[in-house]
Formats: sequence, structure tokens, C-alpha cells
Amino acid sequence: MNQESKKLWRDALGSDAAWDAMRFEEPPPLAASFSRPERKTYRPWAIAASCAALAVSIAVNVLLFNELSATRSDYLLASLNTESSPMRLATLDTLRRQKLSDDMQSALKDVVRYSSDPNAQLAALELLLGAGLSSRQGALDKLLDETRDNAAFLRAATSDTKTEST
Amino acid sequence: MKKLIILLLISAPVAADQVSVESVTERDSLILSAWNANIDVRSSDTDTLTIDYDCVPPDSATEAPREDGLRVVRRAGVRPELTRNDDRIIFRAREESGDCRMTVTAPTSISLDLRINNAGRVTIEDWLGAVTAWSAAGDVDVTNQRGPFSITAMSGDATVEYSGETLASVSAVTVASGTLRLALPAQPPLTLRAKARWGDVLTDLDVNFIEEAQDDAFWSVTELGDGGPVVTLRNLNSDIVITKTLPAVE
Repeated sequence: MNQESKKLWRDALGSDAAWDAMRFEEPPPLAASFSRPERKTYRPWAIAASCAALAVSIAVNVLLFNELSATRSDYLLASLNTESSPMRLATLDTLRRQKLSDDMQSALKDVVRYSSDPNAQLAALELLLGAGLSSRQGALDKLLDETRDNAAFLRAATSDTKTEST
Repeated sequence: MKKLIILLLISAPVAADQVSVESVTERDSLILSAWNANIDVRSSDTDTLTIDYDCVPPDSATEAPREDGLRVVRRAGVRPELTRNDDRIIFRAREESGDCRMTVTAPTSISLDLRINNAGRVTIEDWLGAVTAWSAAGDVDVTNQRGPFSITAMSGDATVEYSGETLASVSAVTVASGTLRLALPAQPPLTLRAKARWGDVLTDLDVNFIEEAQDDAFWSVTELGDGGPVVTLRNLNSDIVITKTLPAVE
């Protein structure tokens, strides 16, 4: 009811007291007609369920990733022990781009000790030197003392001096 | 004259012989280990592997009469031995076998693993399978190779001509004191990593090499085509020469 309508009604009543006693009911807010309060009760459950599903999914993926990494690591270790020279060289090349675990360093030392392919021995030795083998007191000498084949060649390859023959 | 030749053949302490293995497949590999030997490897169209060899044993290993009047009928280790273990064919000539010449004829798809522990050269031609070969003192020449390779010459030159259109796996060549030559007539897609510790890396390839530092060493690295399996080249004392073709033999 606008102000002009109210004035007409007030004049028609002829009494301010009667007018003041009147109450004008305001319509409910328009938005209230669209609210669906029953949904609010389900929303926290939906959020909780989504979070739980996400957490399970992440956990499964972490498990799968760890298992995959372990499988990959096992595969690399196995291929270091293979008799196939190309496969061993390929694995040694892959390891250039990875952090070496203790197991892997141990396997690399075995390649130096027991492989009969000088290229594989050299590649393994380079990886071990990169991982700090030379900084450990006597570790390089000990490894070369234990090496079955080509020890003199590997000593020449890791020395800092130029040699004419091995 | 004939009598003289026969007499020489009988008196010379030479063990000329031939061994062979039939029904060889591409899954088989030949592991040949010798103390002193010159080894030539040729491809064959048949499925038979044959090794022709003759060895001159040192005097100490001959069957000469002894001071006590007895004579040695057979001395262990003098004759090279051939054994087969599943897919591994092993031919081994010990130090007692003396200086040997060996010619291997085999199906070109088998893997080769040739080792000369003291002195001698290795020559391999037209090979399709993987090759691992090294000599402690002597040249290693591999021409028209089309499989992965791992070659080492500890005191001598190493020459590898890789003529395949693609390279199946990582390969390497190392030379300790001599020249390392790699020829790539087909220029397959691959990655070259070269380290000449006291020499230069020389090439006529139309590619740029970049310097890559790794573990206090500098590698010269480049890619042919879109890159691919890595070929590692090391020369501990001299130059590495990478060319499109091998120089013509004079």
C-alpha cells in the first residue's frame, strides 16, 4: 500500500486513534518461497562422502604408485644382473637420471666386480663416483681390488693422470 | 717340396681344427674368450656356427719328452674347448693354448660376446645381432654393424661403422690408448655422448654438440634426428672421431 492510498484511508476513517490501531501485515520475503531447508540437512553428508572418496582414491593411488616404483626398482635391479649387455647398458643409462638407493648402489658395485664388459663396468663406476664413492676413504680402491676382470683398465680410467697404456 | 711341407706340418706344434654347432637360432649367443688370438667373424646364410682355429702353444705346453723319459700324452687346457649351455655357445682358449687364429662363421642374427684377455685383434663384418667385443691389447674393427654394440680397445684403436637405419638399444665404445672412430653412414636417430679426456672430439656431421657437465667431467652431446638410444663414446687418452663414412682403406 503506497503513501497516497494510506492517506485516503486515514481521511476516510476520520480518526487518528483508529488509524494508529490498525496493523499492516507485510508479505513474507520473496526469497522464503524458494528456500528448501530439507536439502541443507543432506549437504554435510554429501561433502563428507566426497572427501572420504577422494581420500580413498588418493590412498589407492599412493599405494599403486609405491608398488609401481618398487616393481620398477626390482626390474632395474634384475636387468643389471642380466647377461644381456645391451639391456644392462640401457639400465645404466636410465640410472643416470635417478637417485640411487642403497640396493641400487650395491647392485652397481656387483656390476663393477663381476661384469666382463668394460663399458658396463665403466658406466657403473661413473654412477658410483657421482654418488660419492670416491669421497669415502678407500672405497674405490677396495672395490677395484675386488674386481675380477679389467681392474687395471678401470684404475687407469678413474685416475687423474694421462696413461699411454693399461 | 711336398714332402718338405708335410714334414713342416707334422713337426710344427700347431693345432689346426674346426668345431661347429648346428641348428643355431637368433636366441643363441656365442661367448668366445681367448688369451692371445686374432679373431675374424663373418656372417653365414646357414644355421651352422663354425669356428676354424689354429693355435701355437708355448714350448712349456707342448707334448715334448720330459727329462725323466716320460712324455705328456695330453696336457689339460691346451686345446680350446667348445661347450653349449642352453642358448649359450661357449668357446674358450686358455693361456696354455698359445697364440691362436680364429675364424668364426655364424648366422648374423646371433649375439656375439668376444673377449681377448691378453693380446690380439678382433674383426667383425656385416653383423645384425648385438656385439660385445674387447681386447686388452689390439685393435677392434666392426664394419657394417646393424645391431647394438659395446666395444672396448684397452690398448689399440677401435673402429665402428654403424650402418643401420635405427639403433635398437643403448651402445658404447671405449678406447684407453688409441683412436676411437665411429662412422654413421645412415645417420640414424640417436643421441651421441662423447668424452675425450685428454684429446678432442672431431666430427664432420652437420650437428651442433653441446657441453654437458657430469660428475667433474665434460661430455659433448648431440642428437641426430629426433634423438634416440644413447651411444656413449669414451677415450681415456686420445681423440674421438665421428664421421659420416670411414676413410677409404689405402
